[in-house]
Amino acid sequence: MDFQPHHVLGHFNLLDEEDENFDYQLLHHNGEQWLTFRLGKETYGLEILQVRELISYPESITRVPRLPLFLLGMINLRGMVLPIMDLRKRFEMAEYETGPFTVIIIVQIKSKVIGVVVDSVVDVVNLQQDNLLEAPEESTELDSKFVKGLANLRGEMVILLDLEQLLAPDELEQISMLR
Amino acid sequence: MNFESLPADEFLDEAQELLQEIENGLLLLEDEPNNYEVIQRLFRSAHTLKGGAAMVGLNNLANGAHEFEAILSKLRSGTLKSSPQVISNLLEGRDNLLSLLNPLLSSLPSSSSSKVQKSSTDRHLPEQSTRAQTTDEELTPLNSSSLPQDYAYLIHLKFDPLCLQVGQEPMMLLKQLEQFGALTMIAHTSDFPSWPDFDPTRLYLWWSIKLCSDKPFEEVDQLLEFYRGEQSELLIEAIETPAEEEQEVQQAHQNMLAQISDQEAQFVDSEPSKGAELMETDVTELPKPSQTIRVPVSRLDRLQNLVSETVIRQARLLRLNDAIQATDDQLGEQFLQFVEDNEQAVRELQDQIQQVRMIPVGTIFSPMKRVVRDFANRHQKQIKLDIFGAETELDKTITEQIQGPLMHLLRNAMDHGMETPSDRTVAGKSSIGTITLRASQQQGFVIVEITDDGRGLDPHKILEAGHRLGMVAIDHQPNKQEVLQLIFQPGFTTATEVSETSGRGVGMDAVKRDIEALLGNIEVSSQLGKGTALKLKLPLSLAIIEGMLVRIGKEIFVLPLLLVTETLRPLPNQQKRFKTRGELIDIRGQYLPLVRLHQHLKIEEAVEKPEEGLLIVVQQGTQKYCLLVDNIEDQLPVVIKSLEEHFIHIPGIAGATILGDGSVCLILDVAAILN
Repeated sequence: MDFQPHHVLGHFNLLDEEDENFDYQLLHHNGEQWLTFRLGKETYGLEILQVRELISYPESITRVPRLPLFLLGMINLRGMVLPIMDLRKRFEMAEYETGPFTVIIIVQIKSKVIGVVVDSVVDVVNLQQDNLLEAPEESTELDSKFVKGLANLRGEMVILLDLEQLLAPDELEQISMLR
Repeated sequence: MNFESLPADEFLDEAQELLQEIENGLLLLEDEPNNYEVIQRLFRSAHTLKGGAAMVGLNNLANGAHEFEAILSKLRSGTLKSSPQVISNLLEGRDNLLSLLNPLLSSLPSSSSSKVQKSSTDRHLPEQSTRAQTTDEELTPLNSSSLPQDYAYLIHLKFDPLCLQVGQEPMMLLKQLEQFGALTMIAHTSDFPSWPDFDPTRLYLWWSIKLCSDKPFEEVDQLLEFYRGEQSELLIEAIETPAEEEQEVQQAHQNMLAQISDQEAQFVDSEPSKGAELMETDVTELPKPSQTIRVPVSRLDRLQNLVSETVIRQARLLRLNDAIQATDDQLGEQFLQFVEDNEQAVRELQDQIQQVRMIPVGTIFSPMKRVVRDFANRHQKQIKLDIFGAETELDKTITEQIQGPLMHLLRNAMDHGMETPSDRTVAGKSSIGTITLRASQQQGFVIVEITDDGRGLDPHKILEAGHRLGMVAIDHQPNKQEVLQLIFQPGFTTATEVSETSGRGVGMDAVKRDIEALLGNIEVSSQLGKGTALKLKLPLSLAIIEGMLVRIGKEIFVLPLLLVTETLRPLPNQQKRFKTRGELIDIRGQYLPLVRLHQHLKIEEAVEKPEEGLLIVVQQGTQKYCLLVDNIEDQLPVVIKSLEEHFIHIPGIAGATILGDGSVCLILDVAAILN
C-alpha cells in the first residue's frame, strides 16, 4: 500500500494527451495550473497542487450517521478511509444522477485528504494574470466564501474555488454541530 | 560539546533507562538496606552511566555520575550505612543527574554544571565520608590485617576470550571474590593485540590474584567452577605463607603458571599497577554483545500498518475464493487451500508484530513507587504500593496512554482514599495503607486494577452531590452502582468548596474518556470503610481489535467484542416499560435498559421489535445495556482506521475498518452512544 503523496500529474489518466484539443502549450507553460471541472452549467477550477488523483464513482460509499446530506460517507481508497463530499449538494444545486462521466476528485488540503464528487472533469489549464477577472459581487449562485476568484478562459468563465474553505476548521465544526 | 551523532541519541535512551533503574534500585534499597546485590546493581548502573557520558563527551553528567558512584561505593564497602536520609539524598542526586540530561532530550546542549548535583548529594552525608572516593581506590590492595585471612590462595583467571559475547561478566567473579576476603590483583594486558586487530567484543585481560580469606578451598573453587568453560583457565592454588608484596604474588604466580604452561609465564605484565587500573576502567566499558536491537517506534508503526493491510487483503482473498469456486471447482479447491495456508501465515504475522510492540506494563508501574513514596512523606501518610503482574505485556502506545489516567487514579487513591495513620488506627486498620496495582491478561484483553484499602466511596455523599449538581432528579433513588457511576460525570465533585487538591470536578470523566478512546472500559467498585477498586479493561492492541459485525437495517457496523458480555433473542414477556426508566429487558431478574441502535444511528427499515432481532448485552462501566440489532453477521479481527486522520471526529463512531469486499465499515463508539 502506497501512503506516499502521489506525483500529481501521474494520475491524470482521464486526460488524453493524444487528444488533438489537448493544449501542451498550456500544460507546460510556467504559471499556475488549474484543474477545471463541470458542475451543472458552470465550470469550476481547482488549484492542481491540491489535487492528488481522480477516481471514478465507487460502487459503495458507507453512510455515516448524523452527517449533513452533502457528506455522502466514507470510501476505501487503497487502505485510506476518506470522506466524500457531494459538491452539488454542498453548493445547494439541483441533484443529478451519477453517470459515466461522474468523477471524484481526490484533493489534499493540508494533512486531510477528501474526495469531491463533480459532474465531469474538463481540462488542466494554465492561468495567467490577464486571465483573471474582477470578481463582481453575486456573480454566481455560490456562497462567495468558497470563491477565490474568476477567470476568463477562451471566452468562458471559470469559477476558481477556495478548497481550504471547504475543510476550514469552522466549517468542520459546523459539520460536527449539525448532527 | 558535540552532540549530534547517532550514538549520542542511543546514549540518551540508555541514560534514561539507567536513571530509572537507579531510582528503582534506591527505592528497593530503602526497603532492604542490607541487600548487597542491589547496591552492586546500583553501582553498575552508575558506572555504566559514567562511562557512557564520558564517551559521548557529557562531562557534567560523567562527573555527576562519578560523584554518585563514589557514594554508592561507600555503601558497598560498608563505610556508609544506607538510611532513609541517605536514600533521599541519593534520589535527589539522581534527579539532578536527570535534570542534566533533560535539556539534551530536547536536543539543546546543557549549560548547567555538575556542581548542582555534587553539592546536593554530598550535603547531608556524614562529614567523614564526604570526600569522594574514586573507583580506582577500591582496587588498591585492601588492608588485609583487618580481615580474616586463615587461608591464602593464588588464583589465575583467564576467561574465554569470547565470554563477553555470550553475556558472561568477568567483573561479577572479581566482585564475588572481593567478598571472600582481601584481594591483591594484577591485571595483565599482555594478550592485547595490536590496534588494527583489536576486537572490542573480545576479552584480552587476564588476572593474577592473591586472596586472603577465611573461606575453605572448596568454596572458592566452587565459585570459579561456575565460570569455567572449555576455553577458560580458572585455576586456584592454596599457598602457605600469605605473601604481602605484589612482586611476591607475581613470582608465586609465575611459578604456578610454569607448572601448567611454560609459554604463558613469559607474558606476565611488567607493570602490574597499570594493569590494575585498566581492569576497572576498560573491562566494564567493553560493549556488551547484545541480543536485542533498538528500533524506532515509527518503524514499528509502519510495519503494523503493512500487516494491517495484509489482514484486509486476506479477507478479500476469502471473498474472491467464493467467486472462483462458483466458476471452477477444481481451481477453487486449490485456491482455497492456498488462502487457508496464507491465513495461517497472516495470523502469525499479526501476532508477531503485536508481540514486538508489547512492553511490560511494569515500565509505567515502577515510576509510581517513587510518586507514592514522595506523596506519603509529604502528606504524613503511610502508604505501601504493591505491584503484581508487572510483567504483563501491553501494546506500547496503549501503555503510554494509560500512564496519565493511572497516575490520576493513584493520586486519587493516595489523596482521597487513604486516611491518615491515626484515622486508620481508630478505624481498626493497619496504620500503613496499601495500594495495589495489578495487571493481568484475560482472554485477549489486559486488565489493570488499582485497589486501595482506604475509606472507600460514600454513596450517600455522592448521591447528595448528584442531587445538588442537578445530575440526578431529586425524587430519583438510583441503586448503588448507578450512584458510583456518577463520579465519572463531567463536573462531578463531592467537595462543596474548591481546595488545592480537589473539588474542581475535573478528573474521573477525563480518565474515563481516555480509557474509552483506547476502546477500553473502566469500572468502579467500592465499600465504605474498606476501600475502592478501579478496573481498566484494555484491548491488547490499538491497531487490530476483535470485532463483532452487526447488521442494522441494511447497514453493517462493528462492535468491539471487548464490551460484549452476551447476545440473546428476548421473548416478548422479557420486555418491560417503566415511566421513569424507559424500556427495560428482564434478563434473569436483572432489568437492563434497551438501546435501540437504529434510532441513535437514524437507520430506517431496521427491526423494531426486540423479539425479532438480537440483543447484544454490553458492559459499560458497571452498568449493562441491551443493544438492539437486526442480526450478527460475523466475528473477526478488524483493523482500526481513524476517521479523524482525513476527516473529523464523529461522536458515536470510534473509527472505521475495511471489510473483505473492500467496503468501509464503521466501528461504533458504544460509550459515546450510551452517554
